[in-house]
Amino acid sequence: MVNRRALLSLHRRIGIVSALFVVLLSISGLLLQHISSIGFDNSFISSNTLLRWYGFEIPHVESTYASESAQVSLIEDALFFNGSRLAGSYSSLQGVVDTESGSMLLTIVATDSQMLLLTQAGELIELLDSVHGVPSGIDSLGREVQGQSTGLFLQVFGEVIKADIDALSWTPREGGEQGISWSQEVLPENEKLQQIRESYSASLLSWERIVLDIHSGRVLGSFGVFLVDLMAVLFLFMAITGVWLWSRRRPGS
Amino acid sequence: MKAGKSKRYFFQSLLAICFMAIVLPVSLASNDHIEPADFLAQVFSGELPDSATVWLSGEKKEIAANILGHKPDFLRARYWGNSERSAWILDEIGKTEPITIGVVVANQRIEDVQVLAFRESRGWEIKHDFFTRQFKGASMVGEQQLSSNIDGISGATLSVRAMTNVSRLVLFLSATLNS
Repeated sequence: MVNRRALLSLHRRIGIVSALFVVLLSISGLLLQHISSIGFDNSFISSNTLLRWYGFEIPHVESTYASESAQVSLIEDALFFNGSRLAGSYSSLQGVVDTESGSMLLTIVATDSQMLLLTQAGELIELLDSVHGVPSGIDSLGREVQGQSTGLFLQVFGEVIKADIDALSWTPREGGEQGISWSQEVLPENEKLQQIRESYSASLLSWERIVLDIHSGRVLGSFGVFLVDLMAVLFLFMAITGVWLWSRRRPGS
Repeated sequence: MKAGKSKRYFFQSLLAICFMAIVLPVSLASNDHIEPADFLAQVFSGELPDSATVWLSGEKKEIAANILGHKPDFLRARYWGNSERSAWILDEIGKTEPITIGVVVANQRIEDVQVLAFRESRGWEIKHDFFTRQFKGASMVGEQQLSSNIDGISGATLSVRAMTNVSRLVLFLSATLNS
């Protein structure tokens, strides 16, 4: 026989304890439900304390190449063009050169399988990849330095390939590397490297992640998950005992 | 005896439903993608025509920004084919990741739309035929709107929007090939 008075007392005590969690879960749940309209899914936190709490280590700049007009750096999966992040994610950086296409001055950035055609202000004109015939396994990007020619060249597994970005033709060169100046890695000043790292770190942790982790308890690690699980069990207990107590209530009470 | 049998059937049905609930979404959400080269080969039956580009400058850039709801991420779009029938491959962000979408336009009507690569964690339903077939035959009306009504998918709002906007942009750009 269940002691009604003891159960009622337990129901009330658990009710007080779980009230705070009900409020927290309701608010975080409401925020998650409308996360896009609030704009939290695209807002990022740059607080070093929170980044450290989450165990994010701000990566170092892996490589930097420079042309006459631009300096491009790779950090994790991001490319920075003169300090500004380019849209998209990239796995490598193999070179940067300036060239002419028609009457336009362009900056070409090569990854191991793509060529990004950019204006000298860093606007993406077009991204060329395998569908445009760009060979994969690019080691270096270079430019012909003889005469008025502005030909572009790629080094792919030791073979030199002439790249025509207008006609989209990629033909092996018979003359080898002669007359080609390959894009070289450079070492930027520490201040610029730090700026890139800070800029990159500001895109690692979104508000959506924080709200989601508050809702699931993960913000406190495995202890937080255990706590939310415990609260869920208590909510179940409250629901069951609440219905039971209501069904056994005394008439007129 | 009878009660035991029906109980067994009940639990078997319950197990089957649980299995379907777990396996079906996983199999539908599988990360398969279509190589752009395979898409083009399929569209042109293996005889790939030359490609050409359309620059997004001046008024075209403004209209493209209106269609997409943001400044386009590229300054020129490439197509294969001609003004009568052309295939386009464009990337558009769904929520945070780009979705690669292939669109074929013939005589200013959408002939086919396919998701070539889907990188988002949600909204993958847009790559299935039950959704993409809504675009077939659609043309451009009014201010770069689709002539067909596209039914949304609950939970895939942003992906649906990305595909609809890319289709509108391709119809607009292919219309400029005649001028």
